Amino acid sequence: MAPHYEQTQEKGIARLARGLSSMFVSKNFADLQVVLDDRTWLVHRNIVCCRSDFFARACEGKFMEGKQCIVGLHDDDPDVLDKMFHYIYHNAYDDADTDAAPVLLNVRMVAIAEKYFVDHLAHLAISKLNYFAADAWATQGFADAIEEAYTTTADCDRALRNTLLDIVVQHAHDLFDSTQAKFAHFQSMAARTPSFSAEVTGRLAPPLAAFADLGIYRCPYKCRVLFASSMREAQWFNWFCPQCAQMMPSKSFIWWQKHRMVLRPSVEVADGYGGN
Amino acid sequence: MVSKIRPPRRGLNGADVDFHTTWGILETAFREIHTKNASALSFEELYRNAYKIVLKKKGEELYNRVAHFEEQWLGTNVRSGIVKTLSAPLMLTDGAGRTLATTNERREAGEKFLKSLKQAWEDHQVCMGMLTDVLMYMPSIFAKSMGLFRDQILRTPVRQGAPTLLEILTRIILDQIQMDRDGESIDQFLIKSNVYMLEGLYQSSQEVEDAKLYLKPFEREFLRQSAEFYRDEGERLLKESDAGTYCRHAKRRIDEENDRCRSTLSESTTPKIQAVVEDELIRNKMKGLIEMESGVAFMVDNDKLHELSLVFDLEARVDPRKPELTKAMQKIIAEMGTNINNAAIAVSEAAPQAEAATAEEQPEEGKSKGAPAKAINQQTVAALKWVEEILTLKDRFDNICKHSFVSDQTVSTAINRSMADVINAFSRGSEYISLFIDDNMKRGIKDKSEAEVDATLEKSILVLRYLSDKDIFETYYKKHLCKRLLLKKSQSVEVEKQMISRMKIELGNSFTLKLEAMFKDMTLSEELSNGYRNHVAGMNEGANEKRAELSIKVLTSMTWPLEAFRSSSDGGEQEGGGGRTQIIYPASILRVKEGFERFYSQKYSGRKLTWQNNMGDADLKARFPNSRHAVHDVNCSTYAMLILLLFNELPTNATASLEEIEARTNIPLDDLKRNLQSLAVAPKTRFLIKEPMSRDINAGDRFKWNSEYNSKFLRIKVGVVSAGNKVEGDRERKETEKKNNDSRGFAIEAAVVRIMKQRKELAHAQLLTETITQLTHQFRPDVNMIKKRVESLIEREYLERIEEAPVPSYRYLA
Repeated sequence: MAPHYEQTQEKGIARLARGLSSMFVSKNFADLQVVLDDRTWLVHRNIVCCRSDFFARACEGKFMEGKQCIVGLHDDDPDVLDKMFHYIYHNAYDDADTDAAPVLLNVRMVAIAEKYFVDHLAHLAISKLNYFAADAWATQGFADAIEEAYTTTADCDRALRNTLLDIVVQHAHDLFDSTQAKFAHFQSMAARTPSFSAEVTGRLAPPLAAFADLGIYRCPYKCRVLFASSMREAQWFNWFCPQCAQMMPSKSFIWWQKHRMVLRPSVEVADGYGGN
Repeated sequence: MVSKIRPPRRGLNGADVDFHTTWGILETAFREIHTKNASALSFEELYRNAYKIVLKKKGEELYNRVAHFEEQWLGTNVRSGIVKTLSAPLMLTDGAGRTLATTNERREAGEKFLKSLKQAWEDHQVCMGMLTDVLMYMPSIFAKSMGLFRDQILRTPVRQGAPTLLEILTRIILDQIQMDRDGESIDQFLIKSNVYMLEGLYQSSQEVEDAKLYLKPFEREFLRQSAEFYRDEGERLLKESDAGTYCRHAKRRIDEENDRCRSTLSESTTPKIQAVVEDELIRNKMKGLIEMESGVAFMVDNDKLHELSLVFDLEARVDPRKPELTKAMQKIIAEMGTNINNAAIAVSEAAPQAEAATAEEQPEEGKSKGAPAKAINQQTVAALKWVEEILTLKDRFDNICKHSFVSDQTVSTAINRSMADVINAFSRGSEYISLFIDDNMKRGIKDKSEAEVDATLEKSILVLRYLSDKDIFETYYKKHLCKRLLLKKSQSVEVEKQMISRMKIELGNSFTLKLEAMFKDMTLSEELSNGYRNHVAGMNEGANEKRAELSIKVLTSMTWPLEAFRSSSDGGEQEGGGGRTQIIYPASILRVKEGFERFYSQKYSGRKLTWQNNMGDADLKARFPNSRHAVHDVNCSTYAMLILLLFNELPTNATASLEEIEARTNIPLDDLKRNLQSLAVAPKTRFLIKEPMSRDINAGDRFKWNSEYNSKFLRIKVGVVSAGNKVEGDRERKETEKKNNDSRGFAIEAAVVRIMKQRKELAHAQLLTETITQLTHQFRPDVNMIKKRVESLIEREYLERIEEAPVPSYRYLA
């Protein structure tokens, strides 16, 4: 009874999603024009406003846009904007149909998601970015992506930056190795983008105090790479090993303790003289 | 479709963003928003500019600029607009903070001010909403701007040394509320809008939920002023109006304040203002209200049930125990009860006084026959009156309790306790209840329907229920019942038995045991008499028709309170004398007596019969030669019969002296005198002639048969002068009391021994408690009496003190 009911419901939701998506193409009942330079998108206020706070507020009625049902945008990349609308209607966008590196495209998607408060788009873009970056860290596209991230998004957006920084830190030995000519492009990008450089430095040379609440653990798989984690009791922690590319799904703090390294204090504390 | 992604666009990065230019654009737009010209502005443009500033890490500066802009705007443009509405009627205040202008002027001016403040607040909300939308990318300015409104508008003095707008606002709202209380219509919604504002603002930038602007300065002031107002109003009303009006008014005020909170202020204030009104109009005034001239006593006197219910509702609001009302009701009952008790005593004493007066006036003549009869009536009248009035009192308060106090448990318990106090405070309570029943049994229930009889019985039980000295009641009831049964005064034995069964339910089996035994004796006696009659008839059939018939009542000696029949004068003497004198019977009577004794001892061996001649009566056939009827049927006491039979044996004109009669009959002198008085003095039954002729029977008086006796009645009943009093005299009462104390002493001793036998050892205090618990259903034992009885038990070595015990204790000695 219940599984059947759930199945029916899932089917219904899928149909609803399909119906909404089809409107992106058909333009039926479209009631809002979005204009960027020479391009115009005909969209549905109900759909766009419920997925983007920016459009919701712009269309509320007190301002010009609300009265005219036209939103004029400036300074945006029309292709990225197009993908944003595609996402709004389909919950997905294609990052393989471009010449640009997918990493760069995904950074741009994050940026536009944040600019226009598009629901959940940033999460999707960051996870895609993570996926591509594992193989693309050495490319020009990755360097461009970093530069764009640090110039077109707000400082407070930590998710994107941390994702990028994590990858950079893993490969820092190579990326910042001035003897390897193939990373010159990266190094010049770092030179151009001081806020990025500052953050990488911070990551590579963490203050000693930061170790205080970090534990050093080994990858539970055979690579045995060391990593630091601030996991606490009663927390669950999942580990994706950058070395052996294995995934250890959510394990408890207790479980992780058998993989923890015990750091011995460098100076043995001498016994007080005189014994007891 | 494959599209090309261009390299990063430097334009978007905004290296060229100039803060001042951008802020200029924003500021101009904000001004337009505040002057309600936003529809020409592009949201996207403003958003984009603000977004760029934030991307350029200038967000904080932007925030400060916006805050500064708002501060300026509120402080200059908005505030001056509101201050302008403060017209003269609002600012000219007297010492008390009220303005001097007329109410109407004040109201209009106040509404103008409230309107402009409301407008400013609503505008501010809208504008800040729009600004927040535009500045979406920046930390929210909204909370900050609310604080700015509070500081710039409400907390800044109107001018140097003048009050702030918040103070003025508070004053105006309170003034309008006062107008509302005085019955003028005000714009409630307008005030409510301003209250919304105060509820939306915090006292400081730490937005603590219980530090709203509404709560701290406003609500506190509102409650303070309301308390003052209601304190004064309450005092004024107590002086000027009556209690009923006061109650209605207080109730209305509470409802009004509740409504006011809903419609004009905030519902969160409801419980607080309610507490204030309840304190000022009820809790602090309840005593005054109850004691008013038109207060509870007046309401009870005039049966104002509805108003009493109002008083009850009021006090029930503030205290579930209703202490003041309860106290007042108890006091009223105590007063009314005392009046009833005193009135009953007055009625009962009216007669003895009259009697005493006649006695003094005619010391030679002695007691008239009328006076004692009147005294008897008087006591009964007093008893009937007392019981009826007590019942009326109870009915009255039951009715009040039911209709005015929704049968509230606390109050009705208190009322019942007071009723019990009233009844138990009356020393003759036990006797009067018994008398009430006695009178109803003899006369009251005559010609009454079953339901009415039932009601009467129920009434008796009602009063009885309250009585604590049930043992004394039992004594009286036995005495009265005894007389009713023996003298056949009862209207219906059936009803008597009903009464007993009711008492059994109410007071328990042991209480009615002896009463039931009396009924059993009566039934047995009936059977005995019949049995004896048949026995005699069978023995000497037709032998002697003249043989006297005997109807006998055999009474179990401990069950019947025979002392009730003893006349007041000889009771003590006889008991002191020890044993009664042997009556001399004439042969015909002696034969019957001995015959029955034989008959009885055949049936029940080993039982001794004691003949109570003083209680018997006899039916005689008497012949008087000169009377209208040849034979009269005479009913007289057994003693009178003996005297008459004595004269039967004497020659017609022979005389006998008092002493001779006494010697030949052995009738106790006092009984003899009284019987002779009936036979020789009372005009209608003067069968004997006395010499000298006088009222009193004195030593040496001589008597002879009155051959001239004449009466038109065939049946003559010889009354005996004061053969037992219905109501006790003082001496008798003392005696009853003494007897009662004795029997209580026995009951206490029995209880103590019972308890000690079971417990073997027990502390003094515990023994007292247990004894009292055991005895309460009979009477309320006196602690001193218990102590004395315990002493006496120790002397008689039933108990001993335990010397080594830490608390005084006793041990049972088997």
